[in-house]
Amino acid sequence: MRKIILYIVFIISLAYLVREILYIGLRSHKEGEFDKLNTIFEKHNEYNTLIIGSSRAESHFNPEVIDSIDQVNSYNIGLEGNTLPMALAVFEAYLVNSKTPKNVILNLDYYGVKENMDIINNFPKYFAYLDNPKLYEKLKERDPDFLFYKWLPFYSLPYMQKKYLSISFRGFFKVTTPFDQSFIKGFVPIPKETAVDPDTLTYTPYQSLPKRLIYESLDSIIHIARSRQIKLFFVISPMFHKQVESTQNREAFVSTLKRIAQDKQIPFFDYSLDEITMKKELFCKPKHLNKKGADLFSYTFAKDLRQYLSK
Amino acid sequence: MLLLASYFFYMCWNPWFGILLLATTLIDFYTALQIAGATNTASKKRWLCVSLISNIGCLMAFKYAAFFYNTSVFAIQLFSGSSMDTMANLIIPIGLSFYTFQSLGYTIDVYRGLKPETNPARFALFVSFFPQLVAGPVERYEHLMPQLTERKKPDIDSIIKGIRIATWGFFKKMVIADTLATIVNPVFSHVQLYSGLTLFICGFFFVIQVYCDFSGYSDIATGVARLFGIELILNWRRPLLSRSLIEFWKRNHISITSWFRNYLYIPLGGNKVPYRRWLLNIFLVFLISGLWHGANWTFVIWGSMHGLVYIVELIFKKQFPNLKVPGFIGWIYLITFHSLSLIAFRANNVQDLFMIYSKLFSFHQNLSNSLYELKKVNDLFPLLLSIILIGFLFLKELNEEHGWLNRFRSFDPILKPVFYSFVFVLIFVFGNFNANEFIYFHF
Repeated sequence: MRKIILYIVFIISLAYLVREILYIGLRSHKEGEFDKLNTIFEKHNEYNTLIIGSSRAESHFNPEVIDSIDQVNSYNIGLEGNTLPMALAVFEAYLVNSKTPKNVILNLDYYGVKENMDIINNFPKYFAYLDNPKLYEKLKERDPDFLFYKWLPFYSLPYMQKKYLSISFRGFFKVTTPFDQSFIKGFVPIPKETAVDPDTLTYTPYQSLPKRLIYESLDSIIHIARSRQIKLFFVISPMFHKQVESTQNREAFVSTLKRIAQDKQIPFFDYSLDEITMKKELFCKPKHLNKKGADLFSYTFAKDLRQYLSK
Repeated sequence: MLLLASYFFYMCWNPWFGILLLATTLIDFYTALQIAGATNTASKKRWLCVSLISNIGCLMAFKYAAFFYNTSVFAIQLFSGSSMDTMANLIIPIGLSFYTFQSLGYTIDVYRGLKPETNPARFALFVSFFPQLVAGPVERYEHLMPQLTERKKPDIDSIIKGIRIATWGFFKKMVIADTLATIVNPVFSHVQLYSGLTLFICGFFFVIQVYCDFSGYSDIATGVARLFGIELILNWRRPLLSRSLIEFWKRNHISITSWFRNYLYIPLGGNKVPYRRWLLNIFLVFLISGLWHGANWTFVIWGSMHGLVYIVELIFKKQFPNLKVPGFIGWIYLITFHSLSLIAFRANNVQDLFMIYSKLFSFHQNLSNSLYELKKVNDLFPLLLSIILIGFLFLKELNEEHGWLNRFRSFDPILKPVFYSFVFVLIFVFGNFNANEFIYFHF
């Protein structure tokens, strides 16, 4: 019996050790996705302007362009697949280790709100950062299994998949891919290989029905901004016009957001009908601008933003 | 209890499969009793025929009906030009080929003089014992039944050994075989996109994949059976270290090879027939063994290739009895042939197979281009991991074969737990938990 207990203790210790080694690999990245996650959840940062939201935030706002126009020091913490509650979670987790920014640009997209709000896209990417108390707390709220992911290596390791193992090994050996190198202060241009001609696609009409959680998350972001004296901005960044047209209740949704912004005195920038949306050469997908489109949009937005910014 | 557990295990796939298993069991139980009780040879033969027809008929109905029908349709269309509808494949009850062979082997043994089992429940357990029910090893009655009857309580060392064997089996399946599958499957699904050398490398990867998949299952079955105090027969003796095809078939899938030897090759006359007939017998056994693996012409081609090369080796051995082939050369030959032949085993259809072989023998091969193609299939990491895992597998098997670490035997109480703990943890790190089925479940 003693033999079996010893065996079990040894195996569990080994699992913790192996998992920790994999996490060290992930945290060793100096470029790319995991460098961005390290920056958000682990490092102390002093950026005065933050961009938050989903993949639209991540791939539409180029901080370098914004910095050059507005003379700010910005960083993009938008993450692919983030719903608004997740964007809030990432924002709060960022604030744990970093200096409070002066400006926060929240990209709101009416496309994202039709998704299941409990979805945590690519959730294993957060495993290495569960020591960030705010991140852990928020993730556990969305998915109680995060309790097991944090404490039980045999529960979390199978979810790491070859993708994350590969990233971990690359972290140890300082190997970067062209995708890693494309990151600019958290901004990620959508890779050209995944591009499709948005004109050739079929668009199914749909309705965005914002759930209570969306408004609660929005309230929380506004509350944090107020309490920390952060200047908040709402932005709806451009999507291809056919995608916009397929949202049947777009106007109702946008006017609701406008009303909230007006009530709370938050500057609101709506680019959903901007001329950019008509130019298919600026899009790599119906919902995402390409690098050229992102730079152009960032430039336009930065100029519009200038007068409102706190420096 | 074990019988109920076995039926529950089997019926988890599909409850109706349990009825087929029960029917096979009851028919063979009854026919075996009739064979043993028969007073003359004719009557014995009659009852044996009942068992043969029921078992082989079952296999034919579920596994081969569509194959033979569609082949006939193809032949008719070829000669008459008229069009006919083809038949869709039936769902093959999982493990059908294994338990029908095990059960049929028993009735043949009774025909040859074995004392039949009189307790139907005990016989049902022999046929359905869950660790080896769905993918073997195909057990002999004389080996398994006494253990099922006695049911020794396993001691702690036996349990630990069982867990180790099963752990290594899970590692082979979930880590090695499933990692290789992430490269092999996409390539064989689109063979037209890849060069000959890439296809050959994937053929080699498939050799390792199918070995780890199948021997992995056997290890899991053996390990789990040990937890119940039962030792299953050794099914694999490091076949990939063989240096000739003859040696390979002494080490590879031993339970099914010995089944074919005992119940097909020997009744055909074995080697006690004229020389040419003997060679024909060998070829027939390989041909049928190929068909046993699957109802597709690709399996028939695979079986025929093995049969022919086996015969060539026998002739060569007879002509040059003193010829000693260096071990490494022999191993390269075996692995090359096995990779080429398993391409037939893996190809989706005969058209794909011919396309692969025509590309393989085009002699316009470029290693760097192949590595680029393989890298593109599924990133560099799975490719590197596959190469490391293959190296790891061969090192372990070479050590077992040659006892390289025997001088450190005194450290076994420490080394073995550490090694298997690592293997256990690595299953969780690199293992594929997306329920990839075992290849042989469908045979």
